[in-house]
Amino acid sequence: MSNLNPVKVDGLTHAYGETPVFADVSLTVAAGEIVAVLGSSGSGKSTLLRAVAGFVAPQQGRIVIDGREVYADGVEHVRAEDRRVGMMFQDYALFPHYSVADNIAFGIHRQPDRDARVRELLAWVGLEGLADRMPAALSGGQQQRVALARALAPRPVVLLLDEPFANLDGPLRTSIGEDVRRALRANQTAALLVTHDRSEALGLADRVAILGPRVQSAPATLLQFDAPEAVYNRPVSAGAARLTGPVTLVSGVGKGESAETALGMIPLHHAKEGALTVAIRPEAAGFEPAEAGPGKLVGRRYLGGRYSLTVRQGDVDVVVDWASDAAPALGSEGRLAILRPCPAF
Amino acid sequence: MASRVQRTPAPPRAFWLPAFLVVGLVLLPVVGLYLAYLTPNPLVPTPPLSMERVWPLFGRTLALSAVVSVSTLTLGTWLAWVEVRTDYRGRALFASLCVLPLATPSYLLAAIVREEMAPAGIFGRVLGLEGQFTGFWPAVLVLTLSCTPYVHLLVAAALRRCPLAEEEAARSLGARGWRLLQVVWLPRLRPTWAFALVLVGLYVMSDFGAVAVLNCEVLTWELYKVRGGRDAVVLGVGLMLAVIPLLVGIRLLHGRTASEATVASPRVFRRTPLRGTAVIFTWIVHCLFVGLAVLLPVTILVGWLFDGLSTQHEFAGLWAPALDTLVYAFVGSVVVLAAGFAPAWLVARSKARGIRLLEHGVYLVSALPGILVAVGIFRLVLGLKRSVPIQWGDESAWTLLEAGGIFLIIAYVMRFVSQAYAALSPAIQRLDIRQEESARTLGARRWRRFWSITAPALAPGAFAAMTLLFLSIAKELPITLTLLPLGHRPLSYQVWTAQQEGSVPDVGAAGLILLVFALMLQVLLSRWRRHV
Amino acid sequence: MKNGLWIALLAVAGCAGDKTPPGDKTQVTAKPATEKAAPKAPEKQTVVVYSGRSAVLMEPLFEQFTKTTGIEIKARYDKSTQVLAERLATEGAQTDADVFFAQDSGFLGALAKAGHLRPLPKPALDRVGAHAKAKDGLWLGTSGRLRVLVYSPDRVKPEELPKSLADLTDPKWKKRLGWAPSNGSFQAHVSALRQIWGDDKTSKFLKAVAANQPTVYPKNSPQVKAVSNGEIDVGWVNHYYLHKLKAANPGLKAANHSFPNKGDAGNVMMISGVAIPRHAKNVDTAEKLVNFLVSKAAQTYFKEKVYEYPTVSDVTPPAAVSGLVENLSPVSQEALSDVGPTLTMLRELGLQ
Repeated sequence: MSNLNPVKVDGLTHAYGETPVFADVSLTVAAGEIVAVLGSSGSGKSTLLRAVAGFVAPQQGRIVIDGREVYADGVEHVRAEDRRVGMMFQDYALFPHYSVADNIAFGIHRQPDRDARVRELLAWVGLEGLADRMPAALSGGQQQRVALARALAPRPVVLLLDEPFANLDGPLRTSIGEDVRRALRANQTAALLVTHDRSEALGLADRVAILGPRVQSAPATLLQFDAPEAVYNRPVSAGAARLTGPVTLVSGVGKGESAETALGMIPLHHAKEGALTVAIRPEAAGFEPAEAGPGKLVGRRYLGGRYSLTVRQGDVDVVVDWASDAAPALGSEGRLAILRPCPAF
Repeated sequence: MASRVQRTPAPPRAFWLPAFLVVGLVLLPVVGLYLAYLTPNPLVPTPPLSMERVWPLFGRTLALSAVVSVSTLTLGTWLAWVEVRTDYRGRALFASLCVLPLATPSYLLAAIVREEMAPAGIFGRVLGLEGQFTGFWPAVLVLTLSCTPYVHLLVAAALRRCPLAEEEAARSLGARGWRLLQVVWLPRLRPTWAFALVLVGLYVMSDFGAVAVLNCEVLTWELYKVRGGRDAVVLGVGLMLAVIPLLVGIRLLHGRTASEATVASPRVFRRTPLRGTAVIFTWIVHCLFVGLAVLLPVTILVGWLFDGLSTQHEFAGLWAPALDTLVYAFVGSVVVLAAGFAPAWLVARSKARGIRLLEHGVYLVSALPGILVAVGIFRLVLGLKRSVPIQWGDESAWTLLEAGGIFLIIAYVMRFVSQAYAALSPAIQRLDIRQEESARTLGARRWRRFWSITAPALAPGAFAAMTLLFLSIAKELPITLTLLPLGHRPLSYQVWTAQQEGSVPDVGAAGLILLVFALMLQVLLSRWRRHV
Repeated sequence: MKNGLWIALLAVAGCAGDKTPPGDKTQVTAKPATEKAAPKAPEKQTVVVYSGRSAVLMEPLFEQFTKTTGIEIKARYDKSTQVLAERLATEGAQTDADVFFAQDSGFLGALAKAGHLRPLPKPALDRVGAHAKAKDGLWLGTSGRLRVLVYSPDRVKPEELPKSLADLTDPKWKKRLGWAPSNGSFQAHVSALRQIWGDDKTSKFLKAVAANQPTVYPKNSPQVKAVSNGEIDVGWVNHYYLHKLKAANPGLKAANHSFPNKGDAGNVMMISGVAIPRHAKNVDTAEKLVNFLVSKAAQTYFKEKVYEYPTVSDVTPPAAVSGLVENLSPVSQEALSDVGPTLTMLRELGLQ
C-alpha cells in the first residue's frame, strides 16, 4: 500500500444525536503537506480534527492514517494513543507540573535517545536554556513552541492543529506559523490545520478544504478542496467565495467569455452560458471617477496605505480595493471598472 | 473567539460499581435496625417505649434545633455583616479567628461549660449559680457557640456576592435604610438564611457529644443509651423521620446558594461606619465568641491538667490514644477520599441522564446523624452474628472484621464521604481536557495519564480534603464510641470516658491534645482554602 | 518526577496504616499485640473480657494478672452493663467474650436465666461465701458494695440526715438530692426494695423522691464530686467512691452516711460479679481469670485500692468501712438479680 497520503479521510459523516454536523467529507494530506480546513464557527471543523485524532467517533466514513485503517463505519480499529498523530491546541495544553524538557520528553519517555532528542528539538524551536523552566514562566509564544516540540518529538505521521495561533498576536502568529511550516517540511510530516482565519489558511496551507456552514438542519459539506490561489480566485460556490475572502456577488447571464450583469459586461475566467453568479474580489474591481456616472462612492474606509471603497452602481454595492493613499471623496460619481476576469458559478 | 464546550471523555465503566456501593451504604443502618427489630427474645422483657415517652423526646429534639437555628442565624448574620460591611477595626483579625471554633469538638466544649458553670466552677462562682448546668438551655448555649461559625461563613459569602451595581443604582434612586435592605439585600439573603437554618437544624438534630455531656434528653442521646435493646428501633426510626425533611430541604436549597468558593467583589464598597454602643456590643460579642469557643477552652483545659499534676493524679496513658487517633484518622481519611472519588468523577464526566441523583445520593448518605449510622451498623453486626454465623477458621468472621476496624471505617465513609466529594468534585471539573487529549496523542495510556496528568492536578484539592477528613475523624465521637475495635482508645474516647467518670484532669490532658491538634489542622485548612 | 513523589507518598501512607499501637499502660500486653492473632496460637494466650466496670478500676488488676500468668487481656468497657449483656445475648455463638464482668448482679441473673452462661470452676465457687454467688454456680461475686448517701458536711448537719431510706421523700430535700437511675447499682437497689417493700410501696417511694427533683447523673462518681463542689447536698451512691476520690484528693468535702436503723432498706450490699459465657472460645484462660479474681491478690486489690468488701473469707474488709456492714438489710442475691420487672417499673415511672 503506497504511503503517498499519510492521511486519508473518506466520506466522513457525523451528527450529535439528532443534529447532523457534517456529511460526506473526503480529503487527503500528503507527506510534508499542510492542509487547512477553513470554515465558519459551528461547521464542525474541530470535530473533524478530533475524529482524525481519535477522540470522536463519527457515524460513517473511513479514516486511514499511515496506511492503516484506524476507523471504518462505526468501528474504531486503532485507539487515539496508537495513531501516531501529534496535536497542538489554541491554549497550548502544556502539562503544568512538568518542566519544558519533561513536557517535550513525555511522548518519548521510554526511548533511549530521549535526552538527545529533547535537546535537538529545543534548539530547533529556539528555546535552548529553557529546558528546566515551568510552563507558567513562559510567554504565549514560547509555550506554543514547546507545544510544537512536544508534538513533534515522537515523530508523528501527521500533526493536527486546532486553531493553534488564535491566542497569539499578529507578528508572533506569522513567525510561529513559519516555524511550524519549516518543521513540517523538514520532517516530511503531514499537517491538518483547522482555522476560521482565512489569511492563516491561505498563507500557511498547501491546500485548503472549505467546510461550508450548517444551514438550518442541513449538515456542513466540503465545498472545495484545492490550492489557496485556486480557492481564492476560482471558488466553486458563493459559500466558498465568502469564506475565502471579501467578495461581492452579482447575478447575471453568461454570454460566452463575458457575463451580462447589472454592472455591465464582466469578463469571466471560463466561458459560461446561462444564469450564473459572478464573484468580484475587491482587487479585481476599480473605480474611475467622472463628472457623472452610473456609479457613486458610498463608502470609504482607510486601511493604512490603501482604502476600501464601496461603489453603488446599478443597485449593487461593490467593494473596491483602492491601492493608494489618495482616494476620491465620499459621494463622488464615476464608473466601476472590472480589472480582470472574475470567477462565476 | 467563540467559546466552545469541552467534550468530555466518557468515564471508565469500572467506576459505576464503587459509586453505587458508596451510595448503597445508606441501607446499612436501615438493615441493621430491621435486624434489631427481628431479634427475638430480648434478654430482659420490658414493655416497649410508649409514645408518651417518645413524643417529648421528639419535641425536645425539634425545639432544640429550632432554637439553636434561630440564635445562630441572628448571631452569625450580625457577625458576618460586621465583618463584610462595616469599618469595625477588628474585622480582619476576627475573620481569621472565627473559623477556629469549628475545630473545638462540641462535647469538649460542653464538658468545659458544664464543669465551670457548676457552683464550684469559675463561672459558677462568679455568676452565683446553683445546681448543675445541664439540660436544654445549656445545650442551646453550647450548640450556638459551635454552629455560629457555619452561619457566619455562609452569610459572609452571600454578603460579598451582593452586586454593587444594584446597590448603587438603588441608592441613586433614593432608596435608603430599610428600603435598601428590602430591595437589594433581603432577596439575596433569604435563600442563604433558609439554607443556614436547615443546615444548622440538621447539625443540631444530629449532634451527640454536646447533648450527651449536658444530659439533654433528645433523640440522639436516648438512642445511644438504648442501643443494645429493642427500643433502638423506635428511636432510630424516629430520628430518621425527624431528619428526612431537613435533608430534603438542604438538597433543594443547596443549588440556590452556590456555597462554593466565591470571588470577592472587585470593587471596594463603602463600609458602614460602626459607632458607639454598636462597637462596644460587637467587641463583647467577638470576645465572648472567640473566648468561649477557643481561648477559654484551651486555658481551662490547661488549668485542669495542672490541677491534676499538682494533686499527683494518676493520668491514664496518652501515647496509645494519641497514636490511635492519628492512625484511625489517617487510614479513615485515605479510605473516605478514595470512596468519594468514583462518584465525583462520574458526576463530572458522565452524560447519563439523572447523573445528578448520584450526587444527591452521596449527600444523603453523609447527612445521616452519626449516632444513627453507629447504632445501625452496631445492630447490623450483632444481627449478622446472630443470623449469618460465618466462621473463618475458628473465629467468627464478623468478629474478625470488627476487630480489624472494618465496620468503623465503613461508618466513617458513610459519615464523611460528602466532604471528600465536595472537595474532589470542583477539582475534577476544573481539569483541562486538552491536557488529557495531548497526553493521549503522545501515546500515554489510561494509567499513565492518570498518574502523570490527572493526579498532580487533583493533588492540592485532595490534600485539602484529606486534612478536613483527618480533622473530622479525629474529633468524631458517636461512631468511634460504638464501633471501636477491642483494645483501641482514641483521644475522643478518652475524653468521653473521663468526662463520664468525672475525672477532670484526664479530660484536661486528652482534651488538650485533641484540641491543639484540631486547631493546628484548622489553621492549615484555612491556609489551603485560600490557595486552592 | 516530582509528581511521582506525591503519588508515592499517598500510596505509602495508605499502606502504612498499621492499626495496632505499641503496648503501654492502657493496653495490657506482655508482648506487642497484633489484632488478628488467632486465639489458639501457642506463643500467646488471650482472654476477652466484657467489663461493665470502668477501665480506671480494672486495668491495674488486669495488668497484675498478665504479669503473673502471661495471658493477655483484651477488654471491652462499657458504662452500661445492660448494653453489654444485650450484646452478649444477641451475639450468641458468635460472641468473642470469654469473661463477663458485671458491675452489679442484675444482668448476671438475666443472662443466667436465659441460658447464656456456663458453670464456673468449682475452686473459685468454693472460695466465695454463699451470700455472694448464684445457687446454680453460673456466676459469682468478686466484691461487695454498700449503698450509702454521700453528703456535704458543710451544708448538711449529721442530725438532718435521714434515719431511714424512706425519709428521702421528705420535701426538705427538694432540689438537694442527686441520683443515677440508669446506673446498674441503682437498679439493683430498686430490685432489693421490691423484695423488702413490695412493688407498690417501692413505686410510691420512687415517685415521691422524684417529686423532690433530684439531679440526674450518669454514674455514681460524678455525684461525689458534685457534693464536693456544691451542685447537690446529698447523693445516693455506692460507698467506695468517696474513699477512692478522697485518696486522690484529700481536700474533698464529702462524707458517707449509712442508715442507722438496723436492717434498713437503705443498707443494701450489692455484688459485682463475673461469669463465663456459654460460647466462650478460651474457656481455660477464662477460668484462670475467674480464679484470679477471687484469689487473695485480687481480693486485696479490691479491698485496698477500690475500698470494696471482699467476697472471700480470708481477706478482711477495709478498715474505713468495716463499721457499715452491721445494719445490712437481709435481702437475697437472687432478688437483686431480678432486673426485668425493675426496669419495667423504672420505665413506667419515667425514670428510665
